[in-house]
Amino acid sequence: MDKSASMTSIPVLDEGPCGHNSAPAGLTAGRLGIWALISSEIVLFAGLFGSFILMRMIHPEWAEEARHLNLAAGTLNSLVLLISNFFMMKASSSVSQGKAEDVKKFLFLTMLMGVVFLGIKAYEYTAEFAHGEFPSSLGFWSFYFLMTGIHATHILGGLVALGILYVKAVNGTLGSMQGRVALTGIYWSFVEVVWIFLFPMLYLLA
Amino acid sequence: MDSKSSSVNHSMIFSALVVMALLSVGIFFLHLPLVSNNLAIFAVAVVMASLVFFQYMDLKKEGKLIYWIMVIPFVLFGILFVLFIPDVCHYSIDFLKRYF
Repeated sequence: MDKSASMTSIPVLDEGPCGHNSAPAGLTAGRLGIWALISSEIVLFAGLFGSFILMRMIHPEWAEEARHLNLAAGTLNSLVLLISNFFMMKASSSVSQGKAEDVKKFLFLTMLMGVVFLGIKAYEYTAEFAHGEFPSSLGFWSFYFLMTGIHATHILGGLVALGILYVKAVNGTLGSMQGRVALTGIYWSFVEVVWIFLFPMLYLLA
Repeated sequence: MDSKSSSVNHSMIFSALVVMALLSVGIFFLHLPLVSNNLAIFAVAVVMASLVFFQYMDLKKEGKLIYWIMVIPFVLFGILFVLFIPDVCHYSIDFLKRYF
């Protein structure tokens, strides 16, 4: 069993800022917190996805609107996010193996791929604005900009967290925050899962 | 699981995810009938999401409490989705004929 696995199963809990624990035995407060966050995020995204699917069934003509999306850019973004998530997992493994240089390298690559994702999304937005499609265009485009915008905001939030960890890793002060790399990895994977559903819903539905 | 097998596992999962991402785009270009196309694409997405949840996010190693935390939003989503269906039918009389 690797160290990250053992870190997740030890009954010793992370202490909060007040010096006391509040999580059930066998579960760190950090892990409980990140899963609770993801649970609330699922409510948010599931509501959006459910609404979109039902509206999409009512409006089959939205398929024609979706044809105006850049499928190549969307596919490329899917691959970029998969690669980014893979690097995040490598960073997480490197922390548990005590490979400080690898942690820095993989955290940087994860961030780089995240920035590339946002860059491609910005390129898509620019093209759509040029064609006169805006969030205020209603129908398909309102859903498109809302869902991809919220997802991009989550990417941005993840990049901030990754940036903090990267700075700590570069300064050699990551030691006491190693568990947070794994927690950030869980969050980053969730953002990946959201895109796994978002991409086919917007770009590939018949 | 040692670090080497963990790394290999991550690589295998990554490869599988890339293949499935490309597969879903491939399905789109097959121009299957509407229901077949959408079901196939969503089936691939569900498999991909499951791989990420259980392999990358280590959900398989978590205890019952985490599973319950994850089940509750899906139950709420199911209720929300079902409650919306009458409204959808109200606005589109052809809805049931088209899809069921």
